[in-house]
Amino acid sequence: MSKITLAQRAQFDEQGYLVVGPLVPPEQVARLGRSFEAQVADWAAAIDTPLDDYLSVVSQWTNVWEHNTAFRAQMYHQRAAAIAASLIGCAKVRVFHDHLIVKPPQGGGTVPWHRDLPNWPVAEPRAVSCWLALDDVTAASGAMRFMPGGHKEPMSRSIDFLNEAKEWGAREQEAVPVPVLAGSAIFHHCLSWHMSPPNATAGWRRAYITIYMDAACTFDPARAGWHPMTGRVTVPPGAVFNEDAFPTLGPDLSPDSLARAVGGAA
Amino acid sequence: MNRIQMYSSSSHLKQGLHRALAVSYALTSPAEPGEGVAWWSLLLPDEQERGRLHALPLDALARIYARDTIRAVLDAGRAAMGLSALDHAAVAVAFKVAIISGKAHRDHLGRDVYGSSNKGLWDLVCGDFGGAVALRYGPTLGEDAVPLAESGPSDAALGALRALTAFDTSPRGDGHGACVAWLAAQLGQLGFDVAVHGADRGRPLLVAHRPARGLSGHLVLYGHYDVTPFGREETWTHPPRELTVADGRLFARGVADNKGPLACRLAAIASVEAAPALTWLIQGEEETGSAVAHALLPDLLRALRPTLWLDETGYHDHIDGTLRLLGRTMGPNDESLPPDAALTALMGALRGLASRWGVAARHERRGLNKNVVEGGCPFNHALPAGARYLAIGVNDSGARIHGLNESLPAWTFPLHAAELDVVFRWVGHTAGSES
Repeated sequence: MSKITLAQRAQFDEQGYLVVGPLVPPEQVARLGRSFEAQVADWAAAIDTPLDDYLSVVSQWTNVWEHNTAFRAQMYHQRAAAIAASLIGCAKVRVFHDHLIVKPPQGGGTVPWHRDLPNWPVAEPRAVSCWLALDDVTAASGAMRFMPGGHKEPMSRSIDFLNEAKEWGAREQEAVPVPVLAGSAIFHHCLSWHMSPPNATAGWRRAYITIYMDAACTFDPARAGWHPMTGRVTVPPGAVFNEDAFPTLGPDLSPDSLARAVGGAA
Repeated sequence: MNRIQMYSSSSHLKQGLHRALAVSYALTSPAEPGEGVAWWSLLLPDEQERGRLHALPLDALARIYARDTIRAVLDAGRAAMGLSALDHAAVAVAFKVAIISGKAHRDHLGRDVYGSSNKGLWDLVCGDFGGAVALRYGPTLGEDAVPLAESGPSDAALGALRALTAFDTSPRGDGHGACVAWLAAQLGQLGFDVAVHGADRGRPLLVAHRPARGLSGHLVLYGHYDVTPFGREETWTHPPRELTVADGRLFARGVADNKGPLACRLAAIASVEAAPALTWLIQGEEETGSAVAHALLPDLLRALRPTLWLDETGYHDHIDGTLRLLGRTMGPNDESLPPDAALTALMGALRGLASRWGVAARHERRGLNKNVVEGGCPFNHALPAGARYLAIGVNDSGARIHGLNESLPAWTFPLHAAELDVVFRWVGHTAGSES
């Protein structure tokens, strides 16, 4: 099992994101790609919609792990979880949710500059997203752009993706596009500022994202507006999330195991 | 029409689609006196009740929006607001996209890019149209439907009505002076200059004036604070000297004639920021011959040239809530002539507003029937030829004014408050275009 280095950890702390590649081998990427194709065909059929029409509209799916064994296995990826725990600085992580986000060829809109946590009913800024590329992602195909160090800025309110745009001014030039190869992952802090442009290429831009948070994080329904997971929470506000829809990752994530996985950084 | 945001539920879009059609129809359908008209009459019989309640699902709305008759109504509404016709092919595509997105979300938490499908449809149908309607008539016309069961007086309106009904302003009552003082204080707090006339010859007439607040034009309102005798109080089902709220109605002597409308309008004026110049005439002898008002009002009214004269109240049918829109242009000798184009447009907007409460509207070319007392109401009989007259308000035909168990429906209060806001903005727009 590969480890992240202290230098990588320091890079994440400074910039708010870290590319780890490859996280999974090509055969696993191919397996996930085939699972995606089969799964979206099933979903399109379930709502009696031609697949092309379906994929021209629907581009994001939440809780894929509850529908699909291949993505369920990926969500439980031990190294991904161990890296997340290391970057958060916790002994045990819990999955907030997963999602698939795709940009079809010559399509997909712009997701404006935003931070994730202001949109989540999670109290603590102790979470990272593992953004696993299922296709080679280039600046032209909609690679995410990050504002280095933005995660260290104070907490901010949610951005309305449909009606607002954050203005950086001259600082916009500091934004960094982060292209990655299929099988590589971008781990980014829940307070990192990021965006993505449309896909201007003839290929797909697919990513599978797992959000890992400190297993001790608590439910704060007042933080966010509507969120698809809020209705799944079965603990009261202020309480630690439970296992009903937010699984912690197994016994292999003991502190000793984490230390082995991340070279002592845990 | 509420803007679609990332967190908007699909109900915002559906409400907007209902409102666009309802308002388009109200603004452009024939306004001749006659039977009640309602936008949902455009729909097929099995769609009408859900349409009235703004509860049609998106796929049904897609089928409705694809009909030529509906497209013509929507385009007429847009033309009335100075907008070009819809791109109906684009609307059809946007419906298809929004329906797929909605199905995917309900079935397996699939989504488009953060609600962009709903916003795409909303932008086409509701965006510029809703903006134009809001600019002319204010935002209330486009807002979501109001279930009747959830519609009732604000705390401010209820408090004002409770205070007003506690004054005994019946012919032999002793509360007239205190009531005048209370009204003067309330009006003063709202920024009115209040003059009290005729106290030496009867129950005084209040003449209250407030300069314009951000809107052109001038609106004259009329009302009265006196009430008829209590009658055999022991036969009332609720005590006539204090306000009782029961079974969706408000009970007390004078609650409908005319203290409820006064209370509603006081609270409504307090809640809005923009208003034209207002003159409010409130007399104290409407039920006993109006001696002071008959002596003073003719000269007073001749000196005013308002954009609109608004009578003391108006009525709804108590069976189904249908709004009776009493509107006319005054002719010689109190003759009721058809409303002019501007007043017709206002009555259309008020029909559209009423549809938020799921009630139809009916035009009647007349004034309130107030000839019960010899000489009638001096307000109605002293309006100059050419005056625009409108009677709208909180009453319904079950109010039993002057009778036992006088009452008002509670649900009409928010509607009338919203009506005043629409009237204010129409006065501003009309006066601005006529100057």
